[in-house]
Amino acid sequence: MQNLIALLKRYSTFLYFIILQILCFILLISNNNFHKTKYWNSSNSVIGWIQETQTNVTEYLYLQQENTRLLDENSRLKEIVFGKQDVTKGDWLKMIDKVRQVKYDYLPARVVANTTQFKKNYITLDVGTIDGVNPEELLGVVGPEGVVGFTKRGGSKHYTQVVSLLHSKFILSAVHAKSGQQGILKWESGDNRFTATVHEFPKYLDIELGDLIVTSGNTGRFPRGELIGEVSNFEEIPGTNFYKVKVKLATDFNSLYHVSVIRNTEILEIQSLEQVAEPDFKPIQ
Amino acid sequence: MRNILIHSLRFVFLVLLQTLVLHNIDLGDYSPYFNSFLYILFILMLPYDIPSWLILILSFMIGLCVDLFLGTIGMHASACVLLAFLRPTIMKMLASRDEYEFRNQPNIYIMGFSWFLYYSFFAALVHHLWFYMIEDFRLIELHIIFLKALGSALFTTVLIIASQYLMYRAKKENG
Repeated sequence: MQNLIALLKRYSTFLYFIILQILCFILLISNNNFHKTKYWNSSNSVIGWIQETQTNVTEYLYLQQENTRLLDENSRLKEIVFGKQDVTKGDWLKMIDKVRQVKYDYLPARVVANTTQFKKNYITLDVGTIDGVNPEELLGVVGPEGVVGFTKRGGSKHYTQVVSLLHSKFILSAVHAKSGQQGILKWESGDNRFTATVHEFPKYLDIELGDLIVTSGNTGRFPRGELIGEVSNFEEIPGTNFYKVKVKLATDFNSLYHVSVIRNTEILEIQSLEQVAEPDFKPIQ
Repeated sequence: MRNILIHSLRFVFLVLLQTLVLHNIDLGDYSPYFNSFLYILFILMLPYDIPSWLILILSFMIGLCVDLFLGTIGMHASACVLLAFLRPTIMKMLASRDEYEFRNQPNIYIMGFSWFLYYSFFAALVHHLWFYMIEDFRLIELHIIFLKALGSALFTTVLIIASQYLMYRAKKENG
């Protein structure tokens, strides 16, 4: 106790100084608005900083719960979005190709069966004649990433079969997006589920790896410019004037789920003009 | 007793001079950089052997008085308390303990011109620097604060030296 008093005595000047300064600051902060605001603001920002740091640290501890929560949220949102798609099942969404003035209707559909491993692969969609898929027509089918295939003739009431792009007899007119040159897309024996081959790109064409290959829109089954894939490899065919171009497909056929059936409202008009006889799943492009 | 009276009168006079006259000096564009706080002369001229608690309280009082007039409650008081706290340190810096013996009144005649010049300049610098730091309160533009403190300290020092000559010449003529 005595030591304490001695200590206080020894530092009494400093103590007086501190007490008076504290008094000054109390007066300062309680009487001057500017200082009051600054004081509270900076205290708030200090507290804010501390709390933010705390959050930054504790956040890691709750990552697991947060992940679970986000997954729940995700599935809930998916239900809303795709549930809605189910509600509007059978509703064709209108889209207009502004340049060519051709109208396209899109029918959302889901893949219920799908193969990729065979030479002739088919996809089954959960839409049928009842949804307005004409069993007599060959309709284009696209996925979120790009072209998927054509509907096969003779769909049932609730289901439709699609000739996948991964089908040995699949054939489609394709366009080199950069130059506009046309070629013919096929799925050949050397192709796997990630690739296809484009023929009849002339040798003078300036092709680079990564160039986009899109639909031509020539027969009106697909709008022009639907993505097919990108150039992954190309070689000259000896003795001809053409390239053989390998295309990396945009669509991953193994994970395909949501697709759209495309209907061209004016296709009958076009067809009646062209009067072309078509074999079963072999539209002549 | 006489000393107490003189110091009290000086207290009142300096507070009035500071708040009624010096506060209204307008130097145009340079005004923010040259403010004079002559009233710290009161603290500077307190006797050397004054108890530390007394000088702290007196400084607090004169600062608070100026604050009351200028509406800056706490700012001048805080700067004055700091100055009073550091005054012994400044004195120790400028001369050894012996030199203050029998020279109780720190003024320009007893302590000499150069001593008094440094004394008032360092004191003013401490006071003004602290004052402008509290005034700004955010300490973001420290260089501006320092410039202001330096300019004002020079101004204050000039006024303090001038006042010394005025005060003691008048005294001589009267006495």
